[in-house]
This record gives sequence, C-alpha cells and structure tokens, in this order.
Amino acid sequence: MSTLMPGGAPAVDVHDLFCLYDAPTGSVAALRGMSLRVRTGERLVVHGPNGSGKSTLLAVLAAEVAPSAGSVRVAGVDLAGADDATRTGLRRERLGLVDQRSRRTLRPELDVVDNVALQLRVAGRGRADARRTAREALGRLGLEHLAGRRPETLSGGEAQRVAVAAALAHGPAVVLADEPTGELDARAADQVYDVLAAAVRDLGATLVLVTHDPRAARVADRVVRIRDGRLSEQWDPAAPHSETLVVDDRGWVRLPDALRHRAGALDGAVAVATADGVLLRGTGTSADRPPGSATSAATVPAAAAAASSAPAPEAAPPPGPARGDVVATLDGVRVGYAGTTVLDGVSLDVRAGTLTVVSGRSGSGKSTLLRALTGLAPVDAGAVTLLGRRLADLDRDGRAAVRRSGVAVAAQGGSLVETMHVRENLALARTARGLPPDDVLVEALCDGLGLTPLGHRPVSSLSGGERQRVAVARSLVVEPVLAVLDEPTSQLDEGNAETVARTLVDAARHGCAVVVASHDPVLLEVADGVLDLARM
Amino acid sequence: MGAVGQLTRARFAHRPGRWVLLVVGVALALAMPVVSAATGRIVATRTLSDTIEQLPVGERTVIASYGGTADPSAQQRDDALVRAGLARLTDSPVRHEMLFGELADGAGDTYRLGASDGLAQQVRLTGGRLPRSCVPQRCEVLLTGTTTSPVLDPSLGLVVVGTGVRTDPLLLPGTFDPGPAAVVLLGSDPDALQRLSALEQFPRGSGWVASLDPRRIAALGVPTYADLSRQVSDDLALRIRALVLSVPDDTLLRADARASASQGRFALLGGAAAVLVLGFVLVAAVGLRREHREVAGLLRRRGASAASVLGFAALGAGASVVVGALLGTAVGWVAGWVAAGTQPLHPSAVGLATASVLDALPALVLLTAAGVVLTTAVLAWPTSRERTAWHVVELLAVGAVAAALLVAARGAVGAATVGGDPLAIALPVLGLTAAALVAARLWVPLASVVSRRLPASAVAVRLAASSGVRRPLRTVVTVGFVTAAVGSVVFAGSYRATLGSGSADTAAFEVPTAARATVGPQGDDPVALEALAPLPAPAYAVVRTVAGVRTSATSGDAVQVLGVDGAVLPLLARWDRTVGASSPAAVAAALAVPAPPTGVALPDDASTLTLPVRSWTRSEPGDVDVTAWVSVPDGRERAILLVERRGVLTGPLPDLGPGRTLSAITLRESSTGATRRAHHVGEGGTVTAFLAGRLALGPPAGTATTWPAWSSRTAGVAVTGTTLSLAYELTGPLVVVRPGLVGRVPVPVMTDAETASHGPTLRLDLGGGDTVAARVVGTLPRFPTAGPRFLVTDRVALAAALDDLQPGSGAPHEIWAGDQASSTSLAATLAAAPWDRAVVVTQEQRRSVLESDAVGQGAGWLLLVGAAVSLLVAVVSLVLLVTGERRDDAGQLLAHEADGVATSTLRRSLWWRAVAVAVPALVVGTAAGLALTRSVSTLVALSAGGTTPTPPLLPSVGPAWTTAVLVGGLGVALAASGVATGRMLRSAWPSGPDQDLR
Repeated sequence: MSTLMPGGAPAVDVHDLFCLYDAPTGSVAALRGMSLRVRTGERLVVHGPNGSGKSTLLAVLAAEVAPSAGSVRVAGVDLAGADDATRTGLRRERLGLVDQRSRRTLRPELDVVDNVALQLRVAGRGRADARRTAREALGRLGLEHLAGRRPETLSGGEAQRVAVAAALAHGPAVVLADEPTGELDARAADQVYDVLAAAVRDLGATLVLVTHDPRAARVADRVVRIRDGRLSEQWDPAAPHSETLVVDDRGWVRLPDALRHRAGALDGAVAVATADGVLLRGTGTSADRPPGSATSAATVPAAAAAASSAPAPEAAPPPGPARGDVVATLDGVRVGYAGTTVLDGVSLDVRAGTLTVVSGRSGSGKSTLLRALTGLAPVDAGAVTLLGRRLADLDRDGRAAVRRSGVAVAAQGGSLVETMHVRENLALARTARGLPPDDVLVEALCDGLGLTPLGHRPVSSLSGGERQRVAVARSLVVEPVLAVLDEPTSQLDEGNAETVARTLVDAARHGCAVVVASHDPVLLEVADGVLDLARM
Repeated sequence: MGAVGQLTRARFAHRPGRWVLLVVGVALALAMPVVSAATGRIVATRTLSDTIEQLPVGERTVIASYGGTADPSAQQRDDALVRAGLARLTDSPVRHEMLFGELADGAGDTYRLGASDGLAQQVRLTGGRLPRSCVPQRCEVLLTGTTTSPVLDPSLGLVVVGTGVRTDPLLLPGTFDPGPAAVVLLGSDPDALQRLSALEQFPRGSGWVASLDPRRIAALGVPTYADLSRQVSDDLALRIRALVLSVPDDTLLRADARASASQGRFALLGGAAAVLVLGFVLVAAVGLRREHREVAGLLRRRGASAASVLGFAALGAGASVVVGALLGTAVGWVAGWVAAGTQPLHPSAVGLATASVLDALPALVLLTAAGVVLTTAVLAWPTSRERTAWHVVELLAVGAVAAALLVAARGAVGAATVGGDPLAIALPVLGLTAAALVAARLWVPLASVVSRRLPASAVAVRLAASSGVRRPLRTVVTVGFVTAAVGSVVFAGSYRATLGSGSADTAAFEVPTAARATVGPQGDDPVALEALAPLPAPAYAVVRTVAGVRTSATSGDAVQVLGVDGAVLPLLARWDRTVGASSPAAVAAALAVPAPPTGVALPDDASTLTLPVRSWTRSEPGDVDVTAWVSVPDGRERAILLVERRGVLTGPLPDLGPGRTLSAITLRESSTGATRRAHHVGEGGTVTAFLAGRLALGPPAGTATTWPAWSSRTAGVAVTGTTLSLAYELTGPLVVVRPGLVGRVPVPVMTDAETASHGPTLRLDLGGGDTVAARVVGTLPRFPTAGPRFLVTDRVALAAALDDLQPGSGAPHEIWAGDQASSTSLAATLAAAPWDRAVVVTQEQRRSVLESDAVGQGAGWLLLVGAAVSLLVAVVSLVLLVTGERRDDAGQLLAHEADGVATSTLRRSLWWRAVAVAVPALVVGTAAGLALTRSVSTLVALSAGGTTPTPPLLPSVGPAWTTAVLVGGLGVALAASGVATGRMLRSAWPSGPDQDLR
C-alpha cells in the first residue's frame, strides 16, 4: 500500500492500474495492478529495473497512454475514460513533462526562448508575453545566458536544463520527469536535480521523477521502486534503513530477490499472523529446480554472460594485435568547440585486451574524446593513431576504412534501426562491413546480454535500457579489434549494467580493446584503466 | 493557432529545401490543367481560323440579301438596319452591292450589270476612271472581266467610263457571284443603279456584304456567334421582307464540335495531371511524415489540442500545396500567354491566359483541396494505424483495377460523347492509379526477395535494400508515384504515336494507294485522263456504286459497292489497319472470276461504227433508238446513238484508244416514239401497244464477228452466221443485248460482317427494279474508302453485272494509282495538266493535312507537355526520396560510417535507393502506359483531329519514344539522384542528426 502523506490531497492517485501493450508475440503487461498516491507538493523518485514499467507509468500519468484497467487521477483529473480535450487540457495547463532525451523536446527550428515559450504559446499566450515569461523562467533557473542559443549548440546538460525550464515555464501542478539525467555526468545531473527541485518547490508543484540514478534521492521526499509492474518497495531517503516492502490493497507483496535466495527456492509459503505482523514460512524447496536456478533478475545476466563466452576465442584466437599491444593512441590531443577548449593535451594509449573507462563530468569531453579517437571528429592539435594509422594523414573515407578494419562504435545517440528487429540490427551491422552472417555469434551475444526474448521485437518497441544492450551487442557482433562505447549503461538498472560490464570484460579478455565513456561505478569497478577527464 | 503558425514558419525557414521541392513539384503538376485549358482554347481558335481559311473566298462572308426590287422609300432605313445588324457580327466594312440578271448585248454575248458602294476599294483601274454618277436615265459604269466593251443597247443608258480588274473577293461574292469569266459592268451606287429606268422590271439581287470576322467569332465562341447570327437574321427578317442572312454557321459549328470533342481528350490529360498532383503530394507528405510526427508529438505533449495538431499538419504541407498551386497557376498562365501570343485570332494574349486559368479554376481548386486534404491525412495518420493504411492501399488497388475493368467493359465512347463522359475521362486516372498501387504493394515483397539474394560484398546495394525494406513507406509511395509518372509518360508517348499512326491510317483509308483521283468539277474523268496522259505509276480503275441490300420484306440497308482489280490490292497501304484482316492475295483470289465474254473487237483505225441492218420489222420507223456501246479494257464505255441510213445503223466512233470493242447494243423508245405515243393518248387512245419488232444486224464494218455469246434478258436473240437477230418488245425502258448476259453467275463479293449476316447470296438493289446477284465469299472488317457497310468485288465482274442492267453504268470514274516508291513523281504529274482537272488527293497530302490539323497538333503538344511534366515531377520525387532518406537516416548513416563504411559507399547506398525505385517503376509504369494506350485507343473513339477515327485507332507503341523514356528517363532520373547524393556526406568530418528521431 502506498503512502498518502497526511495533510494534503493526492496530486496523483493511481489504483489497481493495468496497462497492456500489443506486441508481435501477444499482449505485454507493463503495469499489473499498480497503486500509488502522491500528495500535492511531494517529490517522488521512482526506481526500477529496465522493463519494470516506470516509463509506462509516466506515460499513463501524462495522459499519453490510456490505462487498460484501474483508475488514475492526476492533478484532480480522472484519466480513466477522459476524453481527448480533457487529456490535452491536463497536459497543457497542469503538467510539465521532462523527457529523457532533450533533443526530442527542443526543436532545432526555434531558439532557446521560443522553445521554452512553446507550451505557453500552445496555451494561447501571445508571442511577446510568452517569450517574456520564458525568459523569466530561464532566469529563475540561472539559464538566461542560454536564451539566444540554438538547441544544437547546447551541451547535453545545458539542453536538459533548458528542457526543464520548458517543462516548468507555464507553472504546472505536476511535473513528470523521465530519466532526465540519463545521459549526464554526476555534476550535470546534480544541476538538473537542483533545478528541478527548486522549480518544483517554487511552484508548489508535485514531482514524479523516474530514474535509475540513486543520487536523485537527495531531492526526493519519498522513493519507490517498481518491479514487474507493481510497487514493490518504498523508503524515505532522509531516514536511513527505512526501506519497506509495499503491500497493496489487494494483499500483493513482492519478496526481494536477496531474501528469497537466502530462504532457498521457495515454491510456496505459509503466512502466519504474529503480534509484530505477518510471518511467511516457506513450505519447502522445489525438487525440480536446484537452488540458484530460479529465474530471478539477479541470476539471468550471469547465465547470459556465461553464454556470451561460449564461442571462446581460446579455441580460435581472432586475428589481430596481441594482448597488450597498443591499438589506438591519443598524443597531446586538443579539441575545441565554439571557442571553448573541450580537451587539452590529452594522451591515451588503448591496448588490446583491456577495458578502459573515460570518465568525467558532463561537458568534460568524454564523447569528444571517443569521436576524436575513432576519427569521427577533428582535433586541433596533437596526434591520433588508430590501428597503426595516423588519422591526420587520412581523409574522411580513409578514416572510415581504418574503422572498417576493426573498430566498432556505439554512439550515445544510438545507432540502431528503429523499425528493424534486434537480430536484424545485428545482422545489418555485419552487412555494413561486408561480413558474412554469423548466427552463432548473434545468438551468443543475445543470450549474454539477455536479449534472446527480444530478438524478434522491433527496436522501436524496446525500452531505453533494452536499446542500450542491443547497441552493445551491435558493437561486438562485428568482432572488432577496438570497441568504443559512449555511456552504454546510462539507462540501465544495476543488474543489467553489471551484465553489460561483464560482457565488455569478456570481450576484453578475448583480445578486444574496449574504451567506454561512462561515469557508472559498475563500469569503473571493472575497468583495467580509467582516464578521468575531470582531473585533466 | 499562434504556436502552430510560429512553428510552421520556423520550419519553413529552418530547412526550406524540401518545401521548395514540394512547391515546385505541385506547381509543375498543377500548371497542367491551365496549359490544357489554354491548349483547348488555342486549338479551338486555330481550328476556327483554319476552317475559315479553307472556305472559298466568296464564302468567308456575311451576306444579307434579298431578291427583287427594294422599296425605294425604305432603302435608307433598310441600309441602316442591315448595317447595324451586321455590325453585331463583324467589324469588317459592310458593302452594299447588287447584281442584275444576265443581260445579252447586241452581239449575242452576255454580260452582267452590278454595283457596289465600295467600288473604289474593290477594283484596280486599268483605264479611264471610276463611275461617278448614276441616274435612272444615265449611269456610268466600269467595265471588268474584259477590255472589250459589250455592244450595249443605248436605251439602257449605260456609259462605260473606264476599265478595271476586280481585286476584292468581297466584290459580288456568294449569292451575287457572276462567275470568274463573266463580263461585269459595275456602278458605284447600288441604289441608284436599281432605279435605272430601262431595267426597272429586270430581275436582280441586292444586299450587303461583309467579310467574316474571325476575331469576333473567336471572342464570342462559335456557339454564341451562331446564336447571335440567328438572332440578327430573325431581327432583320422581321423588319425587312424577304431578307436572307447568309453566314457559314454550319461549317463553323462543325469545326467547333470537332474542337470541342477534342476537349475530352484534354480532360483525359487533365486527369493524368490530377494523378500526378495527388501522387506527388503523397510522396512529399510521406517524406515529411517522420519529422512531422516528432513535432506533432511534442505539441501533443505540450497540451496542444487534436485540432491544433491537425491544423499544424494542414498548415505545414498544406501551405506548400497552396503556394505550389498558385505558382503552378502562374506558370500555366505564362505558358498560355506565350502560346497565345503566336495565335493571330487572339487580340489579347493576357485575356486568353486569364480565361484559361478561369477554365481550369474548378480543377485547380479541387486538386489543391485534395492535395491539402491528402497531405494532412498522410501527416496526421496515426502511426498505430499504418497497417490500416496498407489495407487501404490494397483496397484501393483492387478498387482501381475493378473500376478500370468496369470502364473497359462499357465499350467504346464516341467522339460526340467523350468530352462529357466522366468514366472515359477517368480511365487514365484509374489505370495509372491501379498500376501505382499495385507496384507499391508488390515492392516490399519483391525487394525482400531480391535483397536476400544480394552478395555480401555488395554493401551499398544491401544497405539500400535493407533501408527500403525496413522502412518502406516513403520508398513504396515513391515507387507508386514514379510508376504512375512513367505510365503517364509512356501513355503520352504511345498515345501520341497512336494518334499519329491513326492519322496515317486515316490517310491510307481515304487514299488507299499513293494517290486517288476522281471526277473533277468540270466532269473530267480520271480514267479518261489516264488514257490521255498516263501516270508514271501503276494506276487502277475503280467502279463504285451504291446498292440496297434487303434486310426484310419491307426494308433494306444501303451499302457501298466497290469493284477493284485484284492487282491493286497489294498496293493498298497499311493493309493490316485499313482492312484489318486477311491479305491482299487471299482477297484477290477469293474475288477472282473468269473473264466475261468480251464484245466485238473494232478496227483501231475505224472512225465510224457501221452495222448493216439485214432486216428490221417494226410498226413505225423511228420509234426506237438503237445505241451501240463501245468500251476499252480500262473500263471506259461510250454510248453511240446509231442513225439508220441507207440500210445501215451508223454512228461516230469515239477515240478511246486501242482495244475498242462493241460491248452492247441497247434499244429504247425514241423521242419521236414518245411524242407519237403522247399524241395517241391525247387523242383519246386508251390502248397503246408496246413497241416491238425484229431487227437483224450484220457484223460491224471491218469485222466478221459471229456475235459469240450475245444474249438478252428482255429480247429474243438469235445468231445466224454473222447476223444478230433481235426480237424485241419494249415492255421496259430498255432492251439490252450483250455478250454473256444470260447465264451470268452471281458476282463473288467480300463484305462487312453485318451485310454478310443476311445470307450467302445477296440481291443488290440498284433502283428501278434492277438487281445484281452477289455471292458472299468472305468478310472483311472494313475496306478503304468505303463506309461501314460495303461490298468489294472484282471490277470487271461488277462492271459486267452493272452493264447488263444499264450499259455504261459499270464504267469506272475513279483511279487508285501508285505505290510508295512512285509517290513523288506521281504527285508531280498529278499536279500538272491535264490531271489538275480531276479531283486528286495524294495519300501524303491527306496525311499532311491530318497531321497539321490544329486539333491533332494541340493533342500532340499537350501529350508532349504532359510527358515532360510527368518526367520532371518524377525526377523531383526521386530527389526528394534521396534527400529525405539522407535526412531521416542521418543517425544510421553516421553509425555506418562509424562502423567504417566509406562515405562513397553510403552515397551509393542512397543512390541505389533511387535505383530500387526507378527500375521497378519503369518496368511497371511502361507496361501500364502501354496497356492504358491500348485501352484508351480502343475505348475512346477519337482521332487526332477530334473525329471518329476510321479505321479505328490501333495502339502504336512508338518504339523510339518508349526507348527514349526507358533510357533517357532512367538516365535523367538517376543522374539527378546521383547529383543529389553526390553532394551528400562531403564535409571533412561527419555530423550527427540535428534531431533525435527515435
């Protein structure tokens, strides 16, 4: 049962909510009887693993997806059976929506002020009035210096903060934010959280913030976790060890995986009322399933990772540099952009068989470094050598030829074909390099990254985290000498992030040089080397 | 709508390229209805102009005339009334003219006397001066037509004061025309001349003459002009007794009807333009859909209402369609203005261009509205219902095919109805739409199959194929559109070739050999001319008559009967089209008959035919005329009335050249006998015996014939030695005695299917109870120069059969001459004397006339323009395809480049996307265009000149045109796509998409 904070009417009231999606293999239940109340003015952070239903919940609250069953009330509007005018009126007047990808929110045709003023204009305000209000909103968030810029000239953090301003300029009652910091480093993420919290506080609005980032808790009054389409746990971030299981009004409660593992593989339990509450007593372990084989979220990635190592290179070592050989070098590289020096004097040797993590705050040049390393962006000074070739000596196609000979790139913006199935995307990556189809390798990567059930689903139907795992698989399916990945775990829950980390480590062990731009501790933990741009 | 408007403006300003292409494409396509309307107007006026020019000079007039003497007291009033009336019909000067009936002078010669009030401007003086005065007793006149004055009766009071030459065709034209060789005395005051005392009671005609005013007719339109002329005629007839207004309205209306019929074809092309517009708009809208979806999604997330989002869709591409429509209208206006500037009948090119725009306005509005609706629908169509869109495509494809089949099943539409038949007009639209939908629907499965068979090394092609298959909407829409455009181009080309071929067919049908000659206006017979001045090419006489074929006991059908030599059949041009079945040799074999018995050969040097009368028993001498018929092998026959003189019947032999034979002898009641009989009846005689007698004739002088096979149906014939004995009784108008007459077998004929349906043997009714027996040996779809009901037979057999009834009636009066090899020399000969006295038409001349016909040329021009516009718009759509793919796939292309794919490969992959569209579209479009040509040629019975085509139009591929389309069109389209893709990805460093389109 969710908590209704005393003293206020709920700004969000969800009861027994079901939401089904049509999928090629049948209907998929994204939400399964969820109940949740958020009081007015409350700041709620929602965690949950990939595919648990976080984004769906937000889409329902934003009146973008109709509930299949149950009741939903947002800012006083009953969304069950609401007509289109009611829903659009809700979004226009009372909701502020912050998307996880700021470039989807901000239009390149408009400058920052007009982007922020857009919702006011939609609400019928005159242009001058709307622009004035938008400037005030930017000013309140300390972004007035960006007013005359175009969205494409903003850094990721700047763009996301402008997106926040655009979502809040009209003074909404409820702010819904979906992974607003997924592509930002910690410092930029903190700025976004601060901006969100300040703006919500100023407006007296309610905030529902969906994120994987545990740091978001610092702006939250309450944190909840969603698993399998239901609320499973909640806690007060201000009170240590306050996490509790959620028992909904129909009596559903979800046991944490760790607790179930500790208790053995229960296939039944007896609930006994005690003076302190309810005692669950297991009725025994399954004879058919050995301990540890339960299909819990924790065990699946491990199995997949094991599978991914099935085509072990020890049996047939791939041709290429030997472990420890330098496959790429940055030597005193300097890169500037729009008058700002992003990288200055950066040097790096990337060696075969290692996992290198490039970390640093947002805007510190992580992505720029990866692009420079792979010949996708120019350098102002210094030298870049890739697979033995000096990139400065090559033209655009020459650099492409070097990459073709053994470099895989997974850019942050995504490189997947939305309309293609997962497996087709992987096959296309090999096609693009003129490589023959390799179903065994595709199968192994899908298994290792937990993509097998998604193999025949179009990418457009995948969640952000699932896409990231497909992007990792895509980069490895071409059997690269050097794999370069930009923020491959930014939208992943911890379990899946560990899976990706294991996969990359495996790839490195098999001789691949892996370079990752990330600030994810999971990756930092397994890295053979870390280049921290924040310290440069 | 403020946010929507602002966002729309920002989108136009941000990346104007695609919008500009959309505007240009719509403008090109929507210029077509205006160009079509302008062409229709120009064609109509050119047809009018040509028709007026082809009229004899004297008929290019408006004449108000009346016979008899005008009331002198009303002359001024009548003059004012008529001039006012004619001023409504023409701006040309009105002349008052009059002409007396033919007068005889003192020398026995004839002359005419007339007057015109514009004489000074209508003659050129060659001597003396112009007439100045005219009073009832004395009138000055000008002598024209000769320099020798007729011997005038002084009592007339005519005084010749000068001589001159008539220079103005409007001087005494039409009803006043005295003839080209007439001697005419002309006064300068018609009213005064009419008061000439000596001729007070002499018959005359007078009236007012003005030339036709083509500009006025063009400005009013022929139907309006005809109505106006009728009104003027009625008005004048009510006020002026016996006044008749003569205007060649019927000729003008026929020409106008022909031009109007051709408007239907222009509407066909307008329909194709509609497909172009809607198809192109669809292509453009699909290209914009992905980005629009993102913007619309953002607006929805910002709380925009459904109406606002829909308005955003309508405002965006809709505004482009409207701008394109306005631009297209302007382009069409300019085209009309330029084209009208070369037409003499248009006083104002601006007026014509503006009128054309007004003509096309309903179509423009409709197409623009349809374009806006279609664009909006495509942009606003929910992503979740894209599968529904495919079902809609399938349904539309089935519906379009079914509708096209339905139209085809209705049968042919004639020239009179094509303009008003919406289904006929819809046929090209339906056909092109069906082909486009089918091609679009089949593209994905075909591309999937092909892409699986591509080698791994063909990276660019495989990337292109995978792109098309994975996100097919834009590609298949472009496939559909380019298919329709190619179909339109091929249709335009092959239909143009069909019309051109149809003109050649018509020329060959009307003039089957290189030239055809018929009797001239002065009665000059081409068969005689051929004997006089042989043609430098094979020439064959043709017998032509009309007969009735009985279809029931009380009714019959008229059929044309042609007798031709078997040898001429191989010379008939375009046999497969003009006849349409069998072969010349087979027809000749089927019609062949044994040579009939010939007559008695006469000595070549004889100038007189003399037949000894061995005996002639009769009631009254002179009651019966005996006529001998002399013929030559080319079929000419001459009648010689024989005069009985000293025991012989004799008459002058005409000089027909060698080979003369006495082919028949006829007996008929003489004028003396007829007079005698009339007197007998007048004197109360109630019983009149038939003229009867027995005539025994010896052989013609110089011969010793035994009269082989001479016989008669109405007289007893006996031959004894060289004596031909006839026992006759004139129970009918004529007794015919000829060789082989009795026992003549029915002539073999080939005929049309309907005539043949009346039985294997036919009795051809030639009038007066005369019939000819015919035996049907086969049917033919049609035969050159004949109408839909015809009989063709051997010339000699037909001539013999006709001559059996009436000697001389089987004589040919028509010649088909020459073959293609001799056409040039033949034309030169035919243009010179004596052949210029016959009516001669060469096939080349006829074809040239048909091809230079304004209606035909207008149709050809419009088809060319339509083809060019189709091609241009198709090229634009391909460029839109690759630019759209470049933009929407920017992220994917960057990913491929990051994977190491060279930019040249990526550019090729983009170019291959255009190829993947162009190749199937060319194949299906070409097939559709050819099928459509076949259907339209069959179903829309309209020749290039706007008449019902004879023979029927047969589709012609136009191999040169089709090849040019296939090779040139493909080349241009792919070159344009190559240029577009060749400029892509050329920067030194790659850049990502400016938007996140996930």
